Amino acid sequence: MSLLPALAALLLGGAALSGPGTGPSPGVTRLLAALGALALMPGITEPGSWPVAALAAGAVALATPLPCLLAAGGAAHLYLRPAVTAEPSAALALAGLAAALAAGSLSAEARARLSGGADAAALAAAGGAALCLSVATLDGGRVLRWGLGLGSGPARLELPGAGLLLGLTLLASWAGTVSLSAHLLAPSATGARTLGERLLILAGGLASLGIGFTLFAGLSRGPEALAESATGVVGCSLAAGLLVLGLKALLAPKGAVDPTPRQTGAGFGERLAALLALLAAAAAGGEGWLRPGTYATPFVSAAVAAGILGLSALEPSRLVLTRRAAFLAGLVFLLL
Amino acid sequence: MDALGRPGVVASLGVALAGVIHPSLRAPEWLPAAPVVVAALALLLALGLVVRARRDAGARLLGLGACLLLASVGYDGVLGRRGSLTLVVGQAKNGFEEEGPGGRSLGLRPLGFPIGLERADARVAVLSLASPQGEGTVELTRERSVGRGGFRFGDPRVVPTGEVARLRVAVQGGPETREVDVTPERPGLVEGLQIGLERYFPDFALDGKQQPFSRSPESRNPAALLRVERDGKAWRVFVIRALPGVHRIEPLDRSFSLTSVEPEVAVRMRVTREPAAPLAGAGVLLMVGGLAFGLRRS
Repeated sequence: MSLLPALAALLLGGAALSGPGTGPSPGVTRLLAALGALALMPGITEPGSWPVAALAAGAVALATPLPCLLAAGGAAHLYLRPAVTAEPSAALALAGLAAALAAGSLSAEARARLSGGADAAALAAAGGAALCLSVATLDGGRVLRWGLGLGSGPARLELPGAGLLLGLTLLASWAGTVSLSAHLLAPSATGARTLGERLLILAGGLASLGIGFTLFAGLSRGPEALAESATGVVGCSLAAGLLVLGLKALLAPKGAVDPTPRQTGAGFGERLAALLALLAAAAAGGEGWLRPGTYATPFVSAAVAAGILGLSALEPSRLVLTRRAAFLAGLVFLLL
Repeated sequence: MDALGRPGVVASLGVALAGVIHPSLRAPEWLPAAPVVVAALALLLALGLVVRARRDAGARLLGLGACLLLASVGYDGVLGRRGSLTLVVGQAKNGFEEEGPGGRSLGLRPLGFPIGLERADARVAVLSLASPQGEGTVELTRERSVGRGGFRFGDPRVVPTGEVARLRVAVQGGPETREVDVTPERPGLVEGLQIGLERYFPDFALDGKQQPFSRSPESRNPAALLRVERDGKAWRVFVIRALPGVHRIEPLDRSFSLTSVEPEVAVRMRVTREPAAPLAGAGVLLMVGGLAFGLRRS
């Protein structure tokens, strides 16, 4: 197992979390992202690494937190479950690049909202909700019963300690999200905001411990089991990263956010992301036609759905942030 | 009609359509008449894009592409064919099992030409297909489908038929243990014994009335009923791989064991006929062109 994807994940994760508030510090972020992308280069001959390489390339180009976080998740997934038998797929590579751009647009939109005076509590609550959802669905919902196991069959690895930690994470993130949401709905409830902040900080710490313990135990005692459950574990890590980004924005001193966000950049990036998503759908259809002999496959359906979500995200209408998040989610589902 | 082109309407229709067609949301399981809902949403979305086509060339390309894509997918959905074809080595067929929505079997549908299987392994199936130049062979793999006569053949999978191509039987009790191959067509000859196959059970089990049957076509617990003949006399011998030497024939002073089996396998492949697929691809590319036009302007 090559350690380079793990190194890339660490560097890209560092790039995502570098810089004050949600504002970019392009120099450090881009340097770390570029080093992470370089660490992925030796494995580029393996087609399974193309989507992650595309994500990393997008992260280097944009140098904003969300694309870097997504690329870090992809690199971590590649490390835990190397795709050694994957067929070359232009559709997946295009989807990876589109996902990086869509994440960049989402970052830019969030930054624009924050610089416009929006409350960062919504971002932190969204991160808390994502963590809550990812932990609750890990291992088929076993965390809800204070347990956790990796893999299946004879190779299954039971980790009751990690189950306890992640169960506490679930409780803290749920309570924190509810408290912050209560504050957003009723801003006069200042106590709810403070409580929500503290609970989400606690949830972030517990999530780091739980995921770290799961990774350590999985790598040392059952790498095959960890590889089988890699998607869930990486999903939790990404959600924890989102929470940390939200908390950084929430706890940042006023004025730390870049006051001159590139408003037009989001529009260009979003259009390019939608275009690439449609190209990915066309490529998926072509690959389906050439390989299984039909374009009526679940993968093509998912690619077309992502393309349509990309078109929807371009519309100048309400809930633009939600539609952009849905577009990004569609692309991430495609990559999984 | 103009209301369909409003950004809020187009965005809502797009999100709804994406949600219904996304495989992870499994809409056909919980949404009544899901194909009708998909068709209605897609039609409304395409109309919405067409309504705003007078804005600029990019919007026109986007609307035209959406209409072409929708028409192509609709044509293939209604008039296209899909199903499967199962062949064993040496067999040829000129029809396939057609499937309707939800995988419902619609019966045998003629292909219009014969297709045979010359040989197959886990990776490659070699098909013999008629062409204007005569009969030729093509290789079919999981990575590459082949087309002929408007149909595409792809996704070959090796599946067990439940029959056996060859059994290896050990005969014990003589000066040394001898092994012999038995096939359904040709009995094995060893030590003056003629061993033929009467019945094969790939996954042997006994039912409630102690009658033998096979639980599956997979060779999980293979067993066979053999017919052993010598000097005009015949005996029926039961052999099972899990219990070597379970059946001893006293008059012959021999016991028999099933040492290995080579199951008969078939290749099951997907058969599709989607004549409008190139047009669907062209529709998506037109939409890409429309977006690229907008990109240039932004």
